[in-house]
Amino acid sequence: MNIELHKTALAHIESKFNILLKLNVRKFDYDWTVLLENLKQIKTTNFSSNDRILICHMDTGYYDSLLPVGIVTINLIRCFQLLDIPMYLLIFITNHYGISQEFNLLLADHPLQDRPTIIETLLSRGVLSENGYKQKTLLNAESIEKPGLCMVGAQRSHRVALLNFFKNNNLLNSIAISANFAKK
Amino acid sequence: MISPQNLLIPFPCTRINDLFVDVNSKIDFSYNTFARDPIIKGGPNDPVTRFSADFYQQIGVDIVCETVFAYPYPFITEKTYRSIACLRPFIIVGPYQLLEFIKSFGFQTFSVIIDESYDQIKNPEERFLSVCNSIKEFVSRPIEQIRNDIISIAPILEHNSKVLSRLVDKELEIFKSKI
Repeated sequence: MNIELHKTALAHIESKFNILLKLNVRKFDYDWTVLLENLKQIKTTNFSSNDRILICHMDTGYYDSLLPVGIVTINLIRCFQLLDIPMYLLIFITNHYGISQEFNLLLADHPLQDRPTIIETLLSRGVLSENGYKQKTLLNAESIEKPGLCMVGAQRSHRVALLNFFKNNNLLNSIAISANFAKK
Repeated sequence: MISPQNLLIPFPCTRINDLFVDVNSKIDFSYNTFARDPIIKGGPNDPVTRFSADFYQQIGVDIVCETVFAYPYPFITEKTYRSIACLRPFIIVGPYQLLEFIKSFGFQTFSVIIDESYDQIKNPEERFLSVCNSIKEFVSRPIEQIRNDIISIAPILEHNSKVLSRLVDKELEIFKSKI
């Protein structure tokens, strides 16, 4: 399992805890029985105080305007509760700054000594360079030949709307565009 | 016995449900193919070239269309870091207050040359129209004015490059202090 966390951060966690299970949310957010089955395999009657379950949520979640919290948070907590696994075992690492309020809301009546550790960080693997980005100071403005650049990958509603805006406002000659809407 | 599946909310029909319904209803989905301007060379998401794409030197502003738009959290990806690394200003088509979020890490944005009022508009449809207007206003400028604009913000671009070069170490330090 290639955890979506910067390798140095992962090594730090692994040096401090006995990680029983590590999973990315994207591995099970389409089928929560995958998480349930993984949790069943590590469930025991006596967890050590040093045991932990590491879940990384670095991709987008699912939100519905009818719900005050995300479906990932609701289902994740429910999976732990269904199997009666202590919440303190969970280390939840995410690039969703503010998501801890969802856990606080859902676990409002849950004992304080059995709360998950939520870490909000930018350190998702592959997003920030692990080889180290070197500062650049060379700025060349004379070579500018197009006012704008817009690189969109997979088709999303706001990206389609944006390209429609460019087309309808005759901006396609002013903006270098790449799109791959065949990729969903 | 209660089945676990009955207690769990079923998986969503799409992972990228960005609640963009109002504008979505007006979208012309005629863009359904692959397109690439000849300026754009190589694969921008290749880990080797991601932060050193030379073709950025030929453009004035990067219009960053982030992964999500109507989303409850400021979600930032390599799409934004790429502009910073390649020393170009950006206009972000993304969640509410994403620029504020970026600034909280020490980066500076470009309100001296770009109307960034879109960042403070919570309503997604209104924010979308506002960011489109900012884009239109900027890319409609004469190319010589854009070159001068870029030169005028050189200290900001270089500052951001410096912040980015230290970001991983800084985030690792914070991370270790939390656990």
